[in-house]
Amino acid sequence: VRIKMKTMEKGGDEMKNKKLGICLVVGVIAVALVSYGVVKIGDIQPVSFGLGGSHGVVIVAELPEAPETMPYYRVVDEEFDDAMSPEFCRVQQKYLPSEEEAVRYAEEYIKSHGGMPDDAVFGGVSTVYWTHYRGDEVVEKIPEDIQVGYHRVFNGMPVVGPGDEMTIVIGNNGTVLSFLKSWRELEYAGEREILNASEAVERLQRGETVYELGGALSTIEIDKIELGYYSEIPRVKQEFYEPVWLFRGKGSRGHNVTLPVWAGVTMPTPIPYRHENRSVRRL
Amino acid sequence: VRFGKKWDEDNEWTIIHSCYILDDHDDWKHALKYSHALMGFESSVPMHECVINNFLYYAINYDYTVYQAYRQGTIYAFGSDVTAAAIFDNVEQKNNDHLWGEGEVMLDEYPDDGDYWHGSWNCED
Repeated sequence: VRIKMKTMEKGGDEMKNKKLGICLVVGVIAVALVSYGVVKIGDIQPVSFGLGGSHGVVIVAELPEAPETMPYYRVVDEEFDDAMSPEFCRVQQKYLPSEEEAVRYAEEYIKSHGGMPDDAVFGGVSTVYWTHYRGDEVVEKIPEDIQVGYHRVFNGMPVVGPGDEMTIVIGNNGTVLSFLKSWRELEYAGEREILNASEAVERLQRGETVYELGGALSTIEIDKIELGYYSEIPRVKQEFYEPVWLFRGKGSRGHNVTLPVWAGVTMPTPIPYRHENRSVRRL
Repeated sequence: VRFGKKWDEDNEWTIIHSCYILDDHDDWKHALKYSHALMGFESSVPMHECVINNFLYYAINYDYTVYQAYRQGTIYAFGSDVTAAAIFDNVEQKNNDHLWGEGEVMLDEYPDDGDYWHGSWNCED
């Protein structure tokens, strides 16, 4: 589907140079999009475009100002721990603590196993349920365990990607059933010249995201755009943490979606994935 | 969703790496007539082979159950924006099924009672 482009009434280049926030509203098309284009009408700019696969994007967010450069960081070490109890996912946990208590148990465990990183941020706590269905009828709903998660805010910037996270699963009476921790040690490596937000939108329109989403047709509504860093999958040999523009919003079914786009004027070379064996600790 | 003999004849577990594939899990219940489980996502999900590599690593090297391996593998690979999910034909299969040769595998449910179990989890918390 090719989408026509109209001239913006306000000078886009002028705004881009001044890095003023502008509001983008991106229209939705209801079919899979395989080519990219822009529609701009009046003071707001309805823009429709597709990403790889069949995702359409709607942006309803102010374009933030951006610095000329941002630091990038060298990875000097990676703390990694993967541990699981044989009871995890197998034995019904009848004596689960409250979610509030589970957070306390999780924090105690982290403090006694390598400590809580200074830049760790509480991500959330949720009880995992299994529901027994008979046709459309719910027969029973059983709580299985409680997950507690932490992610990273590095020097005030959000870090996305699974390489800086801790997830702890709590069972009976606060027992730890599973623990996954990946946290990289970083040191300043220099400055990267970065794109402004408008240029990042263009990169997004071209489908040049850090990763591709796969699967069924959906529409993603972006309501927040910010700068951050991208953290690769644990155990992947990531040499540098590079700045990214983060397009955050919701998918058409209400789930959170983050689309990272490299913020550096020059995009980094992709890191090839290679599975690495490691030991898994028994709890 | 209705499946013919080819799907259900001797298929135990299926993983579909696709956004929203299990958001309408009710549509997939017919796929579990004799199959044991279907695993996938209720949210959008990045494409990455890491998930299936970790699933096999846990299931083969550490003899995790199919569900243990999938749950830990998805937490390993993704962050809080991803919600993974699974449906099992019955709870015994959820708790005990291993890959063939890695531990016990529960019997197919025969005759099929039409019931199924659904669970989902965020990949960070």
